[in-house]
Amino acid sequence: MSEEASVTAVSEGARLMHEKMIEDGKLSYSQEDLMLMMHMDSTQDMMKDAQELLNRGLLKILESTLKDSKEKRIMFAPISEQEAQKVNSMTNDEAMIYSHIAASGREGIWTKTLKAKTNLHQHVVLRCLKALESQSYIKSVKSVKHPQRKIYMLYHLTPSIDVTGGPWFTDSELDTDFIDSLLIIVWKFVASKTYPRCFKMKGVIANGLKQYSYPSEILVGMGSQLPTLGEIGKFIAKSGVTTVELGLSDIKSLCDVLVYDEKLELVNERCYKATWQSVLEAGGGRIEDVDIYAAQDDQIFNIGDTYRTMEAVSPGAESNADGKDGKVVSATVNDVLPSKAVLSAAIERNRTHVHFYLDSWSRI
Amino acid sequence: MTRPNTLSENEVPESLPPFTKTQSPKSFLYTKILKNYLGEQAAYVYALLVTNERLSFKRLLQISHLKPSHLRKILVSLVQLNCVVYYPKSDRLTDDYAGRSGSKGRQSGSYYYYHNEEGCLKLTYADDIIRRIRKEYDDEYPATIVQNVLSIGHLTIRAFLQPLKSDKEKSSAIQKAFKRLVDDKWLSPISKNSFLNEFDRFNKTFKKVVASYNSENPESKTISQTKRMSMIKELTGEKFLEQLENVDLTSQLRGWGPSSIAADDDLDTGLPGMINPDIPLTFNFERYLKRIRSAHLASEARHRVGEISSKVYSLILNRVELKSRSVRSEEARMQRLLANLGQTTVGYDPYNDVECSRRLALKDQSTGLTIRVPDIYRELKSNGKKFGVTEADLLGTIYDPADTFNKSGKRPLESNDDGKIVKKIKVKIENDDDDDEDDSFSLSVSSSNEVDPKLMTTLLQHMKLLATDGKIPFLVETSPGVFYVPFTELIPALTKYTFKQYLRHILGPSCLRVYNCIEEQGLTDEKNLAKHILMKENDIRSVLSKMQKFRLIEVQEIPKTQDRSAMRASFAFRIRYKNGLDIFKNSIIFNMGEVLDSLDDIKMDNKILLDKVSRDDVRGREQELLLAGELQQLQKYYEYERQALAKFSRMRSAIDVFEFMNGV
Repeated sequence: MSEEASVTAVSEGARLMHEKMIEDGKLSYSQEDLMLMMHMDSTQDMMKDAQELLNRGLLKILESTLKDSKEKRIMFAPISEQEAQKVNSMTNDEAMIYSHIAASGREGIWTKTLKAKTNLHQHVVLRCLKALESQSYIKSVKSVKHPQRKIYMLYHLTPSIDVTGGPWFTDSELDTDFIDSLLIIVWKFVASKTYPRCFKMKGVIANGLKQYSYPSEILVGMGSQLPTLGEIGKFIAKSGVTTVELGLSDIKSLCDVLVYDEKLELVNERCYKATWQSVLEAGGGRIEDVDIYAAQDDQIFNIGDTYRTMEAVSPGAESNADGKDGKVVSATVNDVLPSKAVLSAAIERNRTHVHFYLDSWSRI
Repeated sequence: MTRPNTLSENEVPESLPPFTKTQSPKSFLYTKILKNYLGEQAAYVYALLVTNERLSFKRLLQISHLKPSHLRKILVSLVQLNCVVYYPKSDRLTDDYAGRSGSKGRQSGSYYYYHNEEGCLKLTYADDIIRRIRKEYDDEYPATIVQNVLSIGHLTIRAFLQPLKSDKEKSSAIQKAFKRLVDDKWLSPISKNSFLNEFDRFNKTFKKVVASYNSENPESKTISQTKRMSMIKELTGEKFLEQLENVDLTSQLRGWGPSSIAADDDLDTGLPGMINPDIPLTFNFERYLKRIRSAHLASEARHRVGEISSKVYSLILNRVELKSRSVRSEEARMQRLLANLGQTTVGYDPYNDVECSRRLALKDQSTGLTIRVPDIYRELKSNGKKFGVTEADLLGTIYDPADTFNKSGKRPLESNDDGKIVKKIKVKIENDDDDDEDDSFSLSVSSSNEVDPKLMTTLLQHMKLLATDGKIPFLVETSPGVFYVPFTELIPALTKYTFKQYLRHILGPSCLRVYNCIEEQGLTDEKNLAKHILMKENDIRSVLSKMQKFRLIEVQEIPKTQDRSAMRASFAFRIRYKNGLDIFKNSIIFNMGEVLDSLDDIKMDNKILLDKVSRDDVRGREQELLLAGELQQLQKYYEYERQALAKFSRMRSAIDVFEFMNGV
């Protein structure tokens, strides 16, 4: 760009027009808008000023179609002085690439698309991108949808949710640690509302009772006191566990996951209730003076009792709890497993990356 | 210890050929059990019958290469244990064919033999059956009787008392034990029909009904074929159900009154209603299934609601158990048999299943099966000890803000969060108390003054808690204070829930998450899954492949391009519950067989040592006569045996749910 991109270098009329457009704050103006704004009668006068601004890179032409017709209209959009100067300092190729990246907005543009649109050679495109990036005009972002693609957008823009993937992604990777800790918090909150005092006294039910539950009126029906999505959201916001802002839909997806994990259940289509099994597995609901690892002679075998094993409590440690006095037996997971090769291989794999989360609430 | 599948001429099977293991998981398990109880040859005969569905004596003789006298003995034992049933080749034989004991030898060629699962099931569950009977009665006699019945299939009281003729006191005690067992339906009379093949028997009933219908209704020729068939089917159903119920036998069972005392002086106890000593009795497996159904339900309540609620639930189940519907519905079985009748048939209409389950669901609510709080209170008084629950255990188990926790100066749980909640609850509970006294407790209060209203409220609250479970409807409240156990809806829900728990523990929690999500979404692809369950796509892929291996999910290809190119196609998944359950069940049954197999192997390895220990002069003095190394080895062996049997019984408990409590 040979001509200087400064408002001072243009004629008075053009300068006035540029100033007014910037002040007005609209993104684009049609020919009629501009004529009205500048109180001009002839199109030619207006076009002369516009051409001047265009030459200096202070104005750009957009194309728009009206809602109900296929007819295309020309629109004018003002460009700030700094921006124009920035573009003016670039080479032609760079400016072209920059304009395409700027047009892509918060979504960003893929290098391959860029190449196709500009019709430049790949080397040229790469060189220009490198130059622009080094001057901090643009940045590259990773897209969650297409992790392999190199996507560019303007340096000062925040990528849209489609690109970042929302609150669950950090650097476009699913942040499972963050999700797991939030899951624990949500679950614990709901559990404390479903079962009274279930986390007090290291999970032992107080006063030597064998059970301590809310009456059914609190759990279901019109007077249900179980937390709704809104309440869970409020709790998370208040607790300050995360700076990320979570919408109701985010909370809902957390609760959905807990429902799929069978840690929570939906009651009356709006409230959430924690399952007793999940409390038991987290080490709650224990009866005073009862050894949970003791043999369960009076009970029929239930797979849900697996939490009563050493292995479930400390993953990886071999169980040595069974075999006291020749009694049948405190359970180890292995005992009940079908011994087929495939199945045991599957179990081995499971054991190597044991899900630690929700194993024990005391770790929270 | 494997040998080839085919036998050479004149070879006698001494060990089980591989086909017994490979033809089906059930065949593997049952032949293992029969081998341990009756020996290899009996197991081999059973396996042959499984392969061939039905065989005549001659053909069986040909392919088994056994001596005729041997085979005859084996068949008698198997028939006695109800592992094999038979049916005469020609239907022209009259009803008394089974009774011609004198000509049996000559006639054995004119029968077909079939395998029968019922007897094998009794043997598979024998140890648990005896344990449960022992727990049920304080007395040792019932368990001894049941053990004897199980080991020989069926017996009469007279035969059982034969060795005790002189000891009158003992024999009367045993007769009483028999009476209790029959009253509680653990033992049931057995008729000739029990040894006959059911399909053939049904077919014969059908033919009889057709003949009598045509002769009794000559005008029926003008009725359309379809209509006539449907009427005949109805009649056949009724008649066959009558046969199944053994009406005439049940009437004879207690017909043993004072009139026959003179002839049976030695068996006279002087008590009315004693059991007829000449009717053969067998163990009622259906009754046992009801008992383990109760055990499983109570156990699940313990994991879903709480310890005391579960105890209350076991009291409820104990009360309705005897009158409740059977676990394997006879009516549903009948419907299946009926579907195959007639010359043209379209097979079994699944809608019949739905209708049948609706009828059964209605029966679950019949008057004898409803429960009120006072009933459970009485049950608690009389049976509480047996189920390990006392009145003291119950008190205080339901949250009450006015209760001791607050009085003891401790901070009430909810007050720090939300003071309002506590107030509301208080009001609610008080209101509720009033309501309850109005409708359901009026009876109990009037009948006995000592009843603690607090206890009654607690009982009611526990029942309500059981009724509020969203996933498994342990109880249903029909009107305030009146509950019933909805077995027909409850059992499939329980099976599915248990299945998922097994999935979680065997394939990992992520598998359950994926499974539940696919189930809710219906048909879904990986991308959609990743969005819903917040897991990395790579992890999801590995879980999916694992699930596919166990046929838990079904894959559907969705072409994206015109030419249906596989490269561009995406794949969607859906749940196949029945397939998954079947694979799972079969794997477990197979593994039960494997456990028995490994136990055999280890017995074989330690044969010399075990022979030594079982010698009379060594028994009891092992410490002195065995070397230190041998003692150690022996301990290892016992440890292994104990673990193997524990494994076996645990896998069997999965089969309880997946085999019997699956379907209508």
